Amino acid sequence: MNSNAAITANRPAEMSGALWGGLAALIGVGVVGLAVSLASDPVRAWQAYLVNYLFFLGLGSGGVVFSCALNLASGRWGKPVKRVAEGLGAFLPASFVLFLIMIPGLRHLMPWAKTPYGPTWWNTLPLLIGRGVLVQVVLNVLGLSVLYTSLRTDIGRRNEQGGAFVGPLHRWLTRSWRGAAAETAIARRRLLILSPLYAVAFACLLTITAVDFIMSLKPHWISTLIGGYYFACSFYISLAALLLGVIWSRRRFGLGDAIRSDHLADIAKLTMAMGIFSGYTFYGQFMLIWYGNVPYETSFLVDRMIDTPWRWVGWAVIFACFILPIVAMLNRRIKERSEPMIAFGAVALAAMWWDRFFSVAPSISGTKAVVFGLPELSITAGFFGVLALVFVIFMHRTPAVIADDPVLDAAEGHS
Amino acid sequence: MATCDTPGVLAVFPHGGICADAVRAVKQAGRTKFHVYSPIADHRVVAAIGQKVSPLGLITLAGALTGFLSAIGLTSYAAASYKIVVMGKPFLSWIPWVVIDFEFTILFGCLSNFIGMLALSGLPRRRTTPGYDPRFSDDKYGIFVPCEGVEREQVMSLLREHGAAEVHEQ
Amino acid sequence: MNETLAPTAIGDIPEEGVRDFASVNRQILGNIKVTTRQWWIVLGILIAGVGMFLSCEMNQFFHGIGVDGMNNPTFWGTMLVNFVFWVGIGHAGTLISAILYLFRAKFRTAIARSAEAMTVFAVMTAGLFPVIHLGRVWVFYWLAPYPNQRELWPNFISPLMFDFVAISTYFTVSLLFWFTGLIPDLAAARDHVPGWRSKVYRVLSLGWSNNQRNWRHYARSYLFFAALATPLVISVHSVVSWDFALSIVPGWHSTIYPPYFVAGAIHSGFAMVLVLLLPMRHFQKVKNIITMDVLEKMAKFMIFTGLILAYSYGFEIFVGMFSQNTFEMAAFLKRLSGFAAVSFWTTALCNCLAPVIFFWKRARRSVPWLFLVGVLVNIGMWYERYLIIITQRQTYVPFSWGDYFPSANEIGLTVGAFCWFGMWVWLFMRFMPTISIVDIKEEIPHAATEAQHGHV
Repeated sequence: MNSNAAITANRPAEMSGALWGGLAALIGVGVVGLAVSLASDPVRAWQAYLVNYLFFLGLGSGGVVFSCALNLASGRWGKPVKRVAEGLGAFLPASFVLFLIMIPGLRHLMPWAKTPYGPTWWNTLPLLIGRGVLVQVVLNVLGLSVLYTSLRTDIGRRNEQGGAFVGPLHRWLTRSWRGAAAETAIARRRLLILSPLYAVAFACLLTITAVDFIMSLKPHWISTLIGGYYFACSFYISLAALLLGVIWSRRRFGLGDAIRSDHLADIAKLTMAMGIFSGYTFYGQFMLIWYGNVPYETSFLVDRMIDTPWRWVGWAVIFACFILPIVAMLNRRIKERSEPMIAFGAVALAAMWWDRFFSVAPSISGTKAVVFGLPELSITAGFFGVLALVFVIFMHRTPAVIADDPVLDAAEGHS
Repeated sequence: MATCDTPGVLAVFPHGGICADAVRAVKQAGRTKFHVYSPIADHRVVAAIGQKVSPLGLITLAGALTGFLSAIGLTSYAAASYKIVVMGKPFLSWIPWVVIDFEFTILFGCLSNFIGMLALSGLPRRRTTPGYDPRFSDDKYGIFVPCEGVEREQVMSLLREHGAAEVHEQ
Repeated sequence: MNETLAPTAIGDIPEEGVRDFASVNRQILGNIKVTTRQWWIVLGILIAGVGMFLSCEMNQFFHGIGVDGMNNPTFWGTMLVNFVFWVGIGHAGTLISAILYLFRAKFRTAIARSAEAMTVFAVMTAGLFPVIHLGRVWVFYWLAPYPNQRELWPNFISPLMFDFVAISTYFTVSLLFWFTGLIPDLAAARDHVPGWRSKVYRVLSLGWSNNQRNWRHYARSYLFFAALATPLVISVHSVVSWDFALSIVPGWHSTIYPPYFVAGAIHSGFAMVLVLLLPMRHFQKVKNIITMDVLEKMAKFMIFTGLILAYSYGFEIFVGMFSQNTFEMAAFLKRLSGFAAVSFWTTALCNCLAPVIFFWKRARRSVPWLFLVGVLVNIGMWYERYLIIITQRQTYVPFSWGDYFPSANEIGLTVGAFCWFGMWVWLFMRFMPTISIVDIKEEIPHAATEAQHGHV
């Protein structure tokens, strides 16, 4: 065990008023932006909302996947950053609420709601809403169970050693505490069952989301890799967010001893690898559709890459998301320093947001022009505010670095 | 094992920690040319020797870039030299050629990596380097210091002081 | 942990595990000893199998590919099935050596050398089939990039050219990677294996001297090999998948093919590694190095790849039905309940259901279960390629519908390929160190070795 500020602090941190205010303001901007644009152009407003929903759902659920992957692979190296990943996962309940808000807008968004096409056993509004709710319920139940188990063990054990986690949430988390040894054993078993379940659920549920909100938007267009593309990119997004979150946590809570530059380099390498993999899934779809030249498939690409203003977006996304990371990351030292990593993470996130926009908008709004302005910016700001608020509250109220991990401490895996 | 006929002193050590100490002592004594033998790439010994990182990375990168450019050159030249429309695809179709470019990059990168490693290590060679003892591929560490005449005594006593289990003259 | 270890005789297993460098050498090099009669008998059987392979090939050589059942409308029969199968098997080796090295997974050390060897031999086996299935094997060189008599180059846009480039790259890189890792171990064999073999090892080890100059460049080289081989693994089987996916045949033209094939390749490769390593660790007495923990981790990996396959099968069928495209729907309905149903359900049960048993720890740590699942998955993966290549023949035009069963010549070639692969593996296990001596030594903590010498 290492001694550092967060572990020895053993109490929740205080959130500053400025932080509260700033994040609340961002959310306010989002609400106002949504309301104003709904009044003038509901399709555009809901489109921006959908893009953000897809982006942030992937980000949040991907954070928990990282935590589960560490459990399954016994990746002890990741222990100091696991809590940050869980912090991203804390967005899941918020994403559920955000989905519910989107329900009234779905009939504006779905092209098949206006002109029916596709299988009637799939493309109907009640089924779409049902599937969306199912996705959210399962992700939340499994994801929050993972978070609950991890937090309970950590907070309970810290409290046994003189910790001051005594708020109502902490008391609820550690109710009926059976003692460190028993709880750790139970937590370990639970996490080793929940982790594979969550990972499988992540893949399947995000596939359903991709089918509903990307594939079905284009009549008769199919791609068997759309699910893989969506969840691979989502994991990439969440790793880039993890990179930023780790750098922020390190500074905010003084975790320089616990989270060293080689942890940062490892996350950066993982992000880069995931970026390359996402690029591979993109290329797999792109090359195959281009090569086969089959009309029901090429319609999707023609909208985006042939003679439309969207092609500039396409090339910029490919360059920034998939090529730039490779080139930028060949240097070892760059990965160990915060400033280049902040830049890399921010560029990756922005570029992937545009990739989501690029996947969705031409199908809904047509290809005459790339319409991006205040509605998109404000709604994005609102979503970001919600994510940041939930993340920051989570990181303040819980120990920022895990002291005792039921799975990783017992494992003799790789360090 | 046949060894080259360089005169010098060979010391055998039971394990890496002692060997690393001895290496530091030999370096402090002003010796720059000596061979350190070890059954594995022991990081303590590497740290004691203090060598810079191998330049193999640059060689590999150069090879990989050569491969990438060669692939683009080959595919473009082959397509442009006899223009036949196949499947309605453009003559210079870079999209599927990304695959060929990628494979050539890896191939040339690996070839230059392998050849570079051999060249930098001075391999292949007919005999092992001076002072080599078969036990160095088993469990012993060793230091061979080329020296002649009077110096030998000094070197031998230095190495004995720093934990050599055996010291031989060659 | 601190007991001194008396020098062990060749082949003795210290049951507590690996303790010091000398015992590693003795144990691993102890298996490169005088060959036994049983070994020669098995080698004889395998060579007879290779002889059968050659005679089937000669039969085809003289009588044409019709003896393999290749005729309108089936042009890709079990020859391609074997090709894809063997290329897939090779992928586990590179994954274990390269990808798990980059992820610093310790369990890889004990199995990496054998797995890499398996990769090289599997690619050698796979490479036979594109040549055989041509019929006119002597014109194989037409695929090489050169301008022919009419100054016409091969068309690099074709996925078959991707294949040529990718497979030759994969073979070259795997061979070099395997050989590079072997150099220090061959040097150890040169030093400690007596007799005429020492001279052979001396040539092969290139004068390796275990000195600091050698190690400095070797370590970097290995890292770069791993970094370059990692994307190569993914790309090679993606290229093989594109042989099918870049067509417009319903059931083949599917964007999920690259990751689906790669996952399938790793699945079959791990299964073959299990099938080979389980007997090897018993007969070579290396159970303390290839421990149950290592095998358990491999089993867990197979659950993961099996789940990816289950996802792929399921989602392909879903998208086929979702598309409302007559041909796509037909392609997938015949898998579920049509004439391809036997192939499909065999494949699904062997590949996806069999590894599910590994959710139970007792099954993961049981040699019979590991071996059984390994065999089942190998069968399932061979059948999956059969399912893809043969049953998807039922394309748009009724002329291509019909039944297909491999001819006797094809079965001879298939079994012969297994014998060819087995022969090389058999030779490897006798003449080369099957476990990486250097990597195992690096795993031994310093404290354990130094305690024996009285050093704190």
